[in-house]
Amino acid sequence: MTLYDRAPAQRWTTSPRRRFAILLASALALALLPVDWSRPLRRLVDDALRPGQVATTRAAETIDGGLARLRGLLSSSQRYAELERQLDELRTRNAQLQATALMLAEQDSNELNSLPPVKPTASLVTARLMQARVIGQHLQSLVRDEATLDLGTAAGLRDGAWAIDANGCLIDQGAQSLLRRGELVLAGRRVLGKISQAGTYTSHVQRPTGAGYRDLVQLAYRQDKRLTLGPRGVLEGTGEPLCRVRMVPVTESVSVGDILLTAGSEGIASSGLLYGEVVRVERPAGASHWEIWMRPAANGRWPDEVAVVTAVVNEQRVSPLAASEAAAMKGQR
Amino acid sequence: MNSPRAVVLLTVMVYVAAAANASICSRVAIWGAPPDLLAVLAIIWMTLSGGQNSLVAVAALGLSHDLISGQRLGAGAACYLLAAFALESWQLRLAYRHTSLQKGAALVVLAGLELALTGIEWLESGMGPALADALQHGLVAGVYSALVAGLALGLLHTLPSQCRFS
Repeated sequence: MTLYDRAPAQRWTTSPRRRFAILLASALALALLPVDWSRPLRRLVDDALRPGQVATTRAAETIDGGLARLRGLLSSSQRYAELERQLDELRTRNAQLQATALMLAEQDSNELNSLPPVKPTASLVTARLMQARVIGQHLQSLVRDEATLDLGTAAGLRDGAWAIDANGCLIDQGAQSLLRRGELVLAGRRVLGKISQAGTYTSHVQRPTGAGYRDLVQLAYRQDKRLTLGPRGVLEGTGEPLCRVRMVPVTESVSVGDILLTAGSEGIASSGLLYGEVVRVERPAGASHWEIWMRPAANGRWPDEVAVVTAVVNEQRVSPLAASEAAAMKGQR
Repeated sequence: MNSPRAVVLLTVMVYVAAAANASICSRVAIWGAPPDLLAVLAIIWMTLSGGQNSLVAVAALGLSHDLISGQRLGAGAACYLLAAFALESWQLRLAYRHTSLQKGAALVVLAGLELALTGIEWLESGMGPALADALQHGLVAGVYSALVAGLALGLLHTLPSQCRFS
């Protein structure tokens, strides 16, 4: 004998509509409960879900990283193919230009051979190297020249005080020897600096590292014990141990160890005078020019003797006799 | 839904869907509306398992939705149940050979479910955002979820029948 017959209850709950009604009523009853009651349960669910969220996020990041790498590979292979194509085009163009250059050179030599011999002439301006001696700090007090300091008693200056320039030196040639401001001072083939002020008997030489120093320079690359000339730039002294070279486009190749020569020194030296060596190369973000740092070749103590490069006008070319000869030649023509 | 295997499978799937809903679904949102993976799971379960036993599973999914989304407990479950009931009624009325129609009905029900859930969310937020914006968001989420569900159903139907969780 059974105490409880489960059949009617089972029939009632297994009916589809009744089951739906029971579940819906339960859901609505839950909705009527205060929100605070479900808070601990929500916290529990949140805590339980956290590892899953971390895992899915990491999985998504891994997939994103893989896709990014794949895209990078695809784009680099496309870029490689594009560069190959450009290289082929440039090779073809190069071959065409070489053929044209050869043809022009041939034509040029034929034309030159048909011309009369070149008549030698004297140059208008010639470079001259003048010997000068460096005057030491102790002797400078004996040579009172036309130097003026931009300091006064307010800065603690008094009569007889020593004026020492740590970044330059005094040489024993001046305007009387036709030296001018801006002329190069050499030690062998190395540039020591420029004359920054020319007195009557003495001149002040400024090193390339001195603040305000500027000159036009040219990069040169060492290739198989030979020098190949590169782009030109502007050398600036900053008052620091290294000079800065600017205005060299980033499209030009520059590397540490390249050397810098004077630009525009034709007539003085065939391959330029040595300024120094590149020790640091930087490319500021978004900049179109390199920022190059150079260590001067003549960086140590001053030598006892130096040479000053001076330009001299050829007197024969500017004399009245030369002018009359030119007029006669014009008449002949 | 009677076998222990199906319970374990459903529990694991609910956990994964809930974790994905709360973490990575926002990454694939369209117009700011991510797909609702729990609703997708409920519709797929209903479509593939069928029968009144799936109502309990759908109610459980609705409760999970309420717990995760922070909505009033029971509101989402009621919506899920109504959607399941509507789908069940449609599927009984539609001829069994029209499986594509049944799938279409499932997707329409899913979009309607998302709209209803958005409406409840809007009411609970104190009618803060504009109703039109909320409904648009719900509609986009519904259509997006329906597309995901359609894709998943299509993939599941390519599997051998033993592999499906029915």
